Amino acid sequence: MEKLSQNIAYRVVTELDLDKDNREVIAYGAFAILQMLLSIILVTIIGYLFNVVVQALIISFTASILRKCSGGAHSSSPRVCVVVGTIICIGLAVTATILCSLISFKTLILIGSAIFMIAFYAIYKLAPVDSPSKPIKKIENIKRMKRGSVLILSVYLIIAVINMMLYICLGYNKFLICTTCMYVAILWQVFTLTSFAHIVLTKIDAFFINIFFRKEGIR
Amino acid sequence: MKRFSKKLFALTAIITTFVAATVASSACMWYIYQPEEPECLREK
Repeated sequence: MEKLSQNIAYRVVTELDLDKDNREVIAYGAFAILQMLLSIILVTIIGYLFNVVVQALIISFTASILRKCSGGAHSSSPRVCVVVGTIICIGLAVTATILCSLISFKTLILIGSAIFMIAFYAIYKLAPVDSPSKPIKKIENIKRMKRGSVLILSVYLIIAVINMMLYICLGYNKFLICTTCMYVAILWQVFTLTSFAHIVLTKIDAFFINIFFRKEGIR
Repeated sequence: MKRFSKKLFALTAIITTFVAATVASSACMWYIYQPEEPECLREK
């Protein structure tokens, strides 16, 4: 993926006669687009196999949009990122679907309230969590991202409340499933903000890198 | 054909630069991987 984005940048810069800075920016943007597309395509395909396409996409978008402002634990390779991200989305989608059929509406409201309270507190305390590749040092940027995270979480809360009201009015189970998916996605994203998640993800990262390393022989 | 491909490259440059600028103003790219940010987009 990195090679492909570098190739795209090289072609564009050569054709348009641009400088080195432009090349780096274009490669960075191309990489972001490719990574996003690959993640969405993989989640859709594997979600289809498990019959949880919509649920998995809701989880993927809910966690990723919140992550844009809150940050979180990182993986050291784009390949591991896509693999782990897809596994998490599908796993959480299956869990949310099962959970929804097992627990009552009232319990779901209680769990949801607890998740939102934990999420608001964790984001207030921890966000934004930066990475060595993209450190966030400016106080104004930290404040802007914290505000952004709270705003996104508030929008999620409103969507969850509307969903619950729609379920009460119309009785469609899909509203409950959609809300449960949002709950698990928020919980996962908030978990990645903690130092424990950093330890867990480092171990998962090492495990997958070991697999890819063994498979390829070189790296 | 050449004019068309030039326009296509220009469009690619615009879209990728816009995405890069958007990603640069956020804490993370997508999922759990964050590549090294270009020097000119880093906060100073």
